[in-house]
Amino acid sequence: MILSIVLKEWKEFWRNRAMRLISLAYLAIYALSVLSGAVEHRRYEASRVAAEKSVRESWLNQGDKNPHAATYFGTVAFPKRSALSILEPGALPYLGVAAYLRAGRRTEFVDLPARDESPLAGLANLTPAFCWQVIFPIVIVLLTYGALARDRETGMERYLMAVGSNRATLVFGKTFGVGLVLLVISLVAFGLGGAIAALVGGFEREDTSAWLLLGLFYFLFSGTVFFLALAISGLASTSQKSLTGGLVIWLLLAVVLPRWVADNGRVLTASPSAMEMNRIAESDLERGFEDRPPREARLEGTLNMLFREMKVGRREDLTVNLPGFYFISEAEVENASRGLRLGQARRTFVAQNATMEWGAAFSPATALQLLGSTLAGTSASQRDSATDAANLYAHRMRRILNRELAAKGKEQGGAFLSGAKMWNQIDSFEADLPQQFETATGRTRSIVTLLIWFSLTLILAATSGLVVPQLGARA
Amino acid sequence: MNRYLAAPVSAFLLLGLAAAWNGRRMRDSLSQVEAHVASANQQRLEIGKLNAGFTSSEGRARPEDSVLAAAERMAPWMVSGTPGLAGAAIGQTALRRTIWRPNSGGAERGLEVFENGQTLAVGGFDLAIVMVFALPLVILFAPRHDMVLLTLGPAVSILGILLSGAPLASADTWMRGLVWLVLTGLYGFFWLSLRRKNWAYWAPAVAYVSLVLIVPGLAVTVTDLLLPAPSRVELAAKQQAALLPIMAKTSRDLAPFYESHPEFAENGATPADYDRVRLKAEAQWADALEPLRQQAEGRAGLHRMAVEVFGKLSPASILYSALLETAGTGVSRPEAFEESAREFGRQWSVALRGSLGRGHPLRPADLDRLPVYRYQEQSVLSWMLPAIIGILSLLAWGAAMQLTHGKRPAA
Repeated sequence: MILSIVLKEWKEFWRNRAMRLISLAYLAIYALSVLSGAVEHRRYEASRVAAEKSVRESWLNQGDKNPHAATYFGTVAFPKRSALSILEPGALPYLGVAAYLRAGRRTEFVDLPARDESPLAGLANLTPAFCWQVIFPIVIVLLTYGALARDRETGMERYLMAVGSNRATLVFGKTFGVGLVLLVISLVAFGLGGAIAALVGGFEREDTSAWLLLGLFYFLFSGTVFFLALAISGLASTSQKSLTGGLVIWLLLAVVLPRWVADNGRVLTASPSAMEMNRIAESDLERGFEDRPPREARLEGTLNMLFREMKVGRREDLTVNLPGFYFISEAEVENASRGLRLGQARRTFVAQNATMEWGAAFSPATALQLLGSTLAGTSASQRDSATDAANLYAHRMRRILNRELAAKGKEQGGAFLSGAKMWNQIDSFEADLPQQFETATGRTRSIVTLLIWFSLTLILAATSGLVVPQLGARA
Repeated sequence: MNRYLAAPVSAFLLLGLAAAWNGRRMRDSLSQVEAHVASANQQRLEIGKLNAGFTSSEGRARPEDSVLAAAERMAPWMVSGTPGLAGAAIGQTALRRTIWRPNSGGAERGLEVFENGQTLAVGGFDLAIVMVFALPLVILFAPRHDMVLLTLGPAVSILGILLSGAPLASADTWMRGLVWLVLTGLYGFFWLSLRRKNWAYWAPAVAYVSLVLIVPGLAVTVTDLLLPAPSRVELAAKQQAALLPIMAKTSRDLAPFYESHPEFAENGATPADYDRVRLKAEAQWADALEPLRQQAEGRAGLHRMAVEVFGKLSPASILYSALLETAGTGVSRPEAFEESAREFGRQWSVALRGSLGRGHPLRPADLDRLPVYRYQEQSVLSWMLPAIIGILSLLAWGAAMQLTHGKRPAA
């Protein structure tokens, strides 16, 4: 009997022109979003490779100059993107794409792509992730609202009962029937997305497993929405009420709650003030911090250390370039201060993300957003490793160049020049791809949240369909 | 009003008030930046005055002895104020807000505001979002009562704007608030006209999805494909290449000062020499980068304009853009601020060059001659124009709905 209902639902669905159009339109929009993501990925990777080559050439061809001056010319680092970012761009538009590795500048990725975009991108941006989180849920509502309510409304439910069908058979048959249609649509979309992403981005080892896991999370989230829509259809006395209820649930789940949860994260733990961070950084260098003395004392200490090492008592007797030594020691202090303060700032972001993750208890879409972006390596916290790599590179570059000046620049001082041989000693910067699985294992709360939502809504759908025959009778 | 209408109207009211309250919290949190900037500027001025007038420390020239170094240390930070209606439409406040400072060649973006990309990516929950997404649902699916549904948007907007902490003493707030009410009223009128078409009950839902989600999304995606925003990666590489020949030369000129260290000046070079050479170098760097910046900004502007044009195919995107511009949290206000920051940078640069001519070191009197930045609110025309275009576009949509309104089928 259940099989008959499933087959009937399946046939009925494909006979219905409106349903067919909605499904095909969704698939077309999803395909366009993946295509757009793929084009964007290609453009970014092409410009990144070209830019890396260009800045490397600029570095090597900077001509003869003082090695300390070369630290001011510096270079620029660009982060890599995983192939899965085509499907889940996550926070990428809100993360900088260039880190200027120059003396006297904070080494962070700046130039946010979102700043060049229209504000409309904040309303609706057709990325594959947006399709899964916002558009597919409304498609589910549109395809599910009539599943139980329409039969009740038309009297078909009573007729089926009269000919010997029981309510459980009816509910499970409908669930599997509509569920099968939705499953086919989502599998086609998921497969299409994966194929294009793999073809354009070239899946690496981690990507395939991350993509499959992503599919599981999409399934849990879509299942949650499906069961909620089915529960409403089971409870509503008319199709129209079922549709209205489904749309209200969609509005809450896909639009209101994720935004509210994210805002809560930002309000409960305020982002660090850039001004304050800048003031602290200046103060660290001027007045010292932790066990580091103030600048004047540090410079004095460096001078005394050189006197002791070289067993001399006057600056003129030193056989090294004194400013070069100052630059080395100051760069160490600057690096330590940056590491300390950046760590403190990041902790506030970790707290914001934790608030978001707790908030996912009310908003499964938030759990999906966090899991999706983490698996694709596009979450904000995953950019930290690239920032750290850029910081380390910049620090190493400055140390090598300042040491060259300190060791060889005694006679000529600022006029001491290095050339291509020296610039070649500095390797080009290459950031690793973000860790996908390792970071995703830290999102246990989000995984548990999705599982709980899925289970609870499954129970709700089953019970709402089974326990309200009276409503059907009334209708 | 019957109880079937009271339920959705009350739910919408609650949602609007919750969004306004949330917007108020966000606005308060974002406006802390201004307090930090004001406090830092005060501190910098005091330190600058303390340092001015001294010539040397332990026989070595100090960075403060260079006019440029001293001026750089005390150059004021500039930031745009949080708009009055930001609590009603957070929009791009957190994304577009940057802190600027003047230098010898003009002004540049000094600090990026530190924000968590993860929360920015989700977007804010505010009154504008409620109007765009929830108002049509209420109008399309609540029991029919034209007058109540038509006035719902403006009525909830009034309460929301009051709750969002908008400064009511300012005439600017009232003017912007009035435009907001007109926009939400016209948006409601459009959806009510659509409802009056008496389509099958599921058809408005499809129209809603198409006009609120799909068309605005397509406007962004299609423009991204056809006329993409400038590549900042490409720009960074171009800037580096543009600086290459200039820095090769300026580094030779700045060699006695190890590029930016007048305190280690060699071969009899003085801080005054440093200022002269450095000023020239900075001007050359700025000249090399400015065309690239203008080119990128121009392309970004073109991209945004194309999205706006495509966006006119949906009343939802028309309303959202117009509400952000009306609230001052769209694009025009940050752009107006950046223009005013650049203008101040030009004044600063001229004053700084004048100070250099008066010899070393920098004295308190010289500091008093430096210009003081005062934030100027954007001109009325700059936000009113996009808002009027929004009003006219919504009117056109409403008129189109009315013109295509057929006869009602007989009951």
